[in-house]
Amino acid sequence: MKDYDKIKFNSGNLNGPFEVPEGYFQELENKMVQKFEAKSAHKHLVVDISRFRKIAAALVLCIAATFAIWKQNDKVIIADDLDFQEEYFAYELEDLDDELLYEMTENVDEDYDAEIEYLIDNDIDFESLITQI
Amino acid sequence: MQKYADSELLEMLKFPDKKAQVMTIIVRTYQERLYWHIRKILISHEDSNDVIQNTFIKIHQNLQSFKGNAKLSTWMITIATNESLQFLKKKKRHILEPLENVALRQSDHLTAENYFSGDEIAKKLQEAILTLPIKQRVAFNMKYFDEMKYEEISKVLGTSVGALKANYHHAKNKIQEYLKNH
Repeated sequence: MKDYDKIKFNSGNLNGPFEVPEGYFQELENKMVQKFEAKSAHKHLVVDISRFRKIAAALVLCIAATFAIWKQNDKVIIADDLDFQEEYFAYELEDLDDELLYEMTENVDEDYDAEIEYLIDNDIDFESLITQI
Repeated sequence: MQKYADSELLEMLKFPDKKAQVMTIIVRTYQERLYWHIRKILISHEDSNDVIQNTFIKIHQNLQSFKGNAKLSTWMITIATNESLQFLKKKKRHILEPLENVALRQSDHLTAENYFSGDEIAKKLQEAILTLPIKQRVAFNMKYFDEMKYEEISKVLGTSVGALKANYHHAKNKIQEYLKNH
């Protein structure tokens, strides 16, 4: 291994033959610090309603709102697609009051029983729909 | 930069409001070591940049569950290694393609990579390392470049010290063989 030892020790570091762009590590540190601060500041609850028809979605949102208050989440993200890179609707917790819940539910179908049946038939578990991040 | 012992960082973690501060210390202290570890597996700076960020996110998510049974650095290198291997798995063209094929494609990109400063022999050595099976390659890098102890490598890779010694011996032979023939 003599020749390789020469390469290693001649390079004067443990990086092998690789380099990084100038200022890269400072940039990385700044980026990560920002991410951690953001993560510490926010505790979000994400609710995916993509699989529900209107009244079922409204029911899930009511449960999620209760859950969010209990867990002291500061934001509830209501996603219609679990790919969070896509656009989503977000409501601050203080907006998630009775009025907003009323707005969410006021236009739902009357056929409540059918929707409940739909949930039972499809064996949908509310807890699996609610994700803590 | 002030240095903190693992125990001091763990003590600070008992206060949830200090988590961001602990993570800042961790990034500042370990980012270079973790980055170079990942870079030697992935070769590409762009890929390594993605994986180091994912690694720190995983560390952030799991830090509370770190109990200090291993050294903090060993635990973090384990996460970085797993993240790198996961990343390589995602680069497979189909489910049955062996990871070694991905490594061979990395070899094609070795000198095309913007941030490669090695001379001809350094390039040849990297090419030779890339011909090793993936776990053998990671073990070789840790022993040869990072000068880690077998005991620590064995904790990272979950392999016995005896197997690692044999692995390193085989890796050295394969590399010497490659360099003789190329």
